[in-house]
Amino acid sequence: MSGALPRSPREQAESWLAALEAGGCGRQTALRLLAMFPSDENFALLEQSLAAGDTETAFRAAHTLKGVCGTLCLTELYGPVARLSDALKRGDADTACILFGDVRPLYRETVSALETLG
Amino acid sequence: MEEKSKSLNEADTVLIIEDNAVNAALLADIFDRDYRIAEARNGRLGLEILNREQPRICAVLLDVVMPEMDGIEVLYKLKEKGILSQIPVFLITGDPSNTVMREAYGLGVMDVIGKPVIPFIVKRRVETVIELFRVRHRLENSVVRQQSEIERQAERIAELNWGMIEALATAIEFRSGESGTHVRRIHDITELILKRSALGKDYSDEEIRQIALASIMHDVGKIAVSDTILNKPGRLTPEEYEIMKTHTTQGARLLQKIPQMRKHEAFRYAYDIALHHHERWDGRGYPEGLKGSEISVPAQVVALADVYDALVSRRVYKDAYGFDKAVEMIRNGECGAFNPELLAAFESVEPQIRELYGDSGDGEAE
Repeated sequence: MSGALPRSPREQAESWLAALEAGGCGRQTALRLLAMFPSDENFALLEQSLAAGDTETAFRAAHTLKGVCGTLCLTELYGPVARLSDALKRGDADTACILFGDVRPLYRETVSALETLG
Repeated sequence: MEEKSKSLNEADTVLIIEDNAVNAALLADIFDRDYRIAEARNGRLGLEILNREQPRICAVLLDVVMPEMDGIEVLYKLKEKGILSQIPVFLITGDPSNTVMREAYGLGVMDVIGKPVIPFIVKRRVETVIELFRVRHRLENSVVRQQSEIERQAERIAELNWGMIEALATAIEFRSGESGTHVRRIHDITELILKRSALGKDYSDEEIRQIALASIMHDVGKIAVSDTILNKPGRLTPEEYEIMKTHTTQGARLLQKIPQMRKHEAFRYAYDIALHHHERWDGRGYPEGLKGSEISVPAQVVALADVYDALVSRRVYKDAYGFDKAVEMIRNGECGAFNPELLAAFESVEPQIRELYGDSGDGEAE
């Protein structure tokens, strides 16, 4: 099965790091910020609240997760999370659940790729 | 040194109100080399920090979607407290739609920054505004400093004027063999009578201050009278007395000839007092023989103060009288007639006037 991310995990992680540095972040800060991503609790909160049918909480978690992806230049994950957030903002839970099916593997691969940065 | 402490007192803290740790960390990283950072994870905590540390906060970076109290609610509170005009607030939003922007700008935010934030752009936009606010603040401070410096200088000039006038009057007193405390006491007695009695009711505190200052110069015309007459121990001949009397008109002339004096607020009082402090209520004074209320209140008060101080002091031509004796002589008209209203006012404050003479008790003033 081919990965949801287009590049190898290491290359992927290096590209995010480079994008952050291009925005004006120092390398050490960029590494520290990227390392925070796996422990950000918004993905878990999104998953739980979707399962529980709590659209409002799900929207807030998706919105914040979108913001974090944007901040960290995680562009591959950003697009699908943004669409998921928009669906939840409209209160469209069904579409949101379908979109979450795309987000979940992307999120896991993103976390794995980030781990290659040590 | 002052400049240095000023810059140390300057607001140095960027307050980041953002619920997400990653976003907050990125924002903190942009500013933590040049500023102190304060962080709040929701609007309510952000307001608490603002209340506590407002003077130290130089900018607020405010997220919109947050638990407990969101960014827009925070803006309403800040507007209510008038903080938005004092501290620049930047709204940071993942949804920079027209609606959000219009509401935010309408409330008074400095700028709306869209997410994802690009560090160097945020740094530039925020720092430009912080510097602008700092310059404005420094300018306001320096205007206030300059204003109080000008006030201090004006006070010093007024004191100097006072000192010069007193020096001139004292120098003239010395010529008549007096110590100079005479003019100081005339000043104090004049002020006391006008301040503590109904006679001064038509004068403001400032006017009374000017009248008392003017009273110091009542005998300035004595500079034109020769020493032999001024310091003659015995009785003056009629010719000598006529010359002595000219110190009133000479004083008025002298004051009028000094341009700086003419511009002084106290001039009109000084001129009138120098000219009329020997007029008497019954018209038997000099130089003009004015009668009753033709004589101004300030001139009447100084006339009485002058007589009283002369009576209780030793002079080349007489010994000092006791206070009670002096009051009795004035009451009996032995030194000329005074306005009955003035006499009543004088007698009501006379015990306080005695205190000006210290412990000498017997009326010996010098």
